[in-house]
Amino acid sequence: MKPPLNSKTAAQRIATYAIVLLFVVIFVSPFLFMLMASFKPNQQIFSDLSSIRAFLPVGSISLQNYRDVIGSSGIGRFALNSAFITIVTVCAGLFVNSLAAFALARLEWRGKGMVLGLIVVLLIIPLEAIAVPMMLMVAYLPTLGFEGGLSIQWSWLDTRLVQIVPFVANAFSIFFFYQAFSDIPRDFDEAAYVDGATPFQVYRHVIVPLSGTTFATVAIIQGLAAWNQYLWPVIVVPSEGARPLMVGLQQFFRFQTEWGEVMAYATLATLPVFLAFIFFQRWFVQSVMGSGVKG
Amino acid sequence: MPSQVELCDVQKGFGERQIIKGVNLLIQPSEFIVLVGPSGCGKSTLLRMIAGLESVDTGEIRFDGAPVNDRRPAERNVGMVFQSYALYPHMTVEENVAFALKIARVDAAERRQRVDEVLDVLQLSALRNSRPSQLSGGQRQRVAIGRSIVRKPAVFLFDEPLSNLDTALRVQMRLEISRLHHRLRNTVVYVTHDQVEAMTLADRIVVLEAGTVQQIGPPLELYERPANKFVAGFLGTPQMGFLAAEAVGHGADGLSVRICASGVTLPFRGQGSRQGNVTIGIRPEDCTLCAPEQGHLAGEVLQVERLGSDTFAFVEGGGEAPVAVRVGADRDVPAGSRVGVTFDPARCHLFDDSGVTLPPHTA
Repeated sequence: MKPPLNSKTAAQRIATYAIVLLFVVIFVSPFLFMLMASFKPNQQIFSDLSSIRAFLPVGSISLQNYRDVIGSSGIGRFALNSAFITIVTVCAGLFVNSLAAFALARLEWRGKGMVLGLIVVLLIIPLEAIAVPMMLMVAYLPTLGFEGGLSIQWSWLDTRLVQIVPFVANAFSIFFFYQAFSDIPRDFDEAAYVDGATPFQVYRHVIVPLSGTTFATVAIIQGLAAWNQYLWPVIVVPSEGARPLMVGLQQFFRFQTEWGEVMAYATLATLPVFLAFIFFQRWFVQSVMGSGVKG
Repeated sequence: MPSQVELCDVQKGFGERQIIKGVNLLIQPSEFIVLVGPSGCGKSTLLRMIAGLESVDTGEIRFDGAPVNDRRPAERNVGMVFQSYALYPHMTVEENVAFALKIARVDAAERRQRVDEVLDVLQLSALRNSRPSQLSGGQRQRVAIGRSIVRKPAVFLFDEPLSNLDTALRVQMRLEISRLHHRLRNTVVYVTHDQVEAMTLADRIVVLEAGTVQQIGPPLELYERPANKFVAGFLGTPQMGFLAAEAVGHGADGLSVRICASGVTLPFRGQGSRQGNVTIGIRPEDCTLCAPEQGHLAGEVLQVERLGSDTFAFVEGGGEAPVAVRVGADRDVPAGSRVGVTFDPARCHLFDDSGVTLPPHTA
């Protein structure tokens, strides 16, 4: 006799929920610990470590850690730097990468296949492998300086520019746009060309409006990468002026034994990403599932 | 102003594969030309070459005598309706129709006026704020037509525009396209694989097969005097029946042709003397059913199609394929019964070994 179908389904469902719950606990508990610790004094953090209290808002709870971090760490300036770098990188990246993908996916030109192949190859080269040669390059690039009148300076080091320009053109973004644009029926382009449109008008009036989700996805992925940048600014931004938030956190952590403040700093650094996730959750999940890329 | 379109020995290939093998065609201003042929014959490629969406390998395309090979689609003053309609899903009906005018920077007042005119002609005014996804197939088709006529192009190009519609809507849209052509009098090049569309819409039909023109002419001329076996078989539903035969001599009644399957010999008047294999072609409406022993051909009824107005019996008589015979709508012909098929040789078509009509009609 076969077992009842619905009981088997119920057992499967319970098992599925149990596994999902386990993963939720594994992924959420560090964030919960960080958040709760950010409201607690140093001693209590250590005394709570051996119990469930570490994840609960119990004991001596206050915003003192946040007051101390905001008052003394320069977090405001670093956050502004990170926001500026992220916004400019994302805006410029969306434009540049989508245009490149449009040329690859929708226009016919000699050498297109080779360029696409090179872009795919670039996908597998990590920043760590090219960071030093890149640093040597940017160290000798010219830029306009405004201190003491307009002048040309021969180094991009220690600027916001050096944290933006190398990351605007992004192989992954181009490839992501390329795949999305390739799926749009060519009849749309051809109808527009017959109607008198130029390639840029086809891009502007047809392709871009039909790719809203793709643009949002790329914005999220490139924005997260820009916000979380750490290795590159550590190499090229030695002083505080153009320092981004993540490097600021590391510096703060280096000279700090007040773990409550460290956790408060980390919470503040995570907050914009968390809010962005809540706001763009649908696209974010789509992007991670669609691209197979770690979030 | 409608344009004259001329194709002079136009050729096109993709890689090793030659798609268009030297097409010559002169389309007069205001003429409605239908390119028809089986899938893969190159008719859509030819249309796209006229539009400028495909380059021409060799040969020349001329509009009003001027070569346009190097002109971009927009510079040819053509309007095109795609098989998929290609309506922009993010735009409303009004925005879709106005798109070409917006690109051409026509000022807002004139743009509005011209769009209103087109929407009015196509009875789309009530749907101006709808998006394509909210429209039926016929409405989408009308928007696609509206988008192509709003620029007042000299030449309209239609690429199988009705193939996605159901039968009833297809008949309705066919009438609308015909009415629109009579009203606007533009030059039209229309691609279809549907011979009914071709027969009902065209001033002249161009039958293509494997990238070559088989015959050009008015619909009835092609139907009644096909240049070859391909054209004869392509036009007409059900298809013309073909019987393998042999020319056996020439007498006072004309060429004597013996049907291989039945051994019956028929006289074909007006044919010259010849010997060897030929094919007899006979339309369903030119055949009659009779007793098996009285027919030029005898065989079993394989299938009976009752269409209401007509009934067609398909008789397996030893030919290349069953021979279709039109019988009265109310006549009962049981499938599986043995019948004879008789026909008037004067209504038959005779093809030589290579499929060319005897005597050949000029293309």
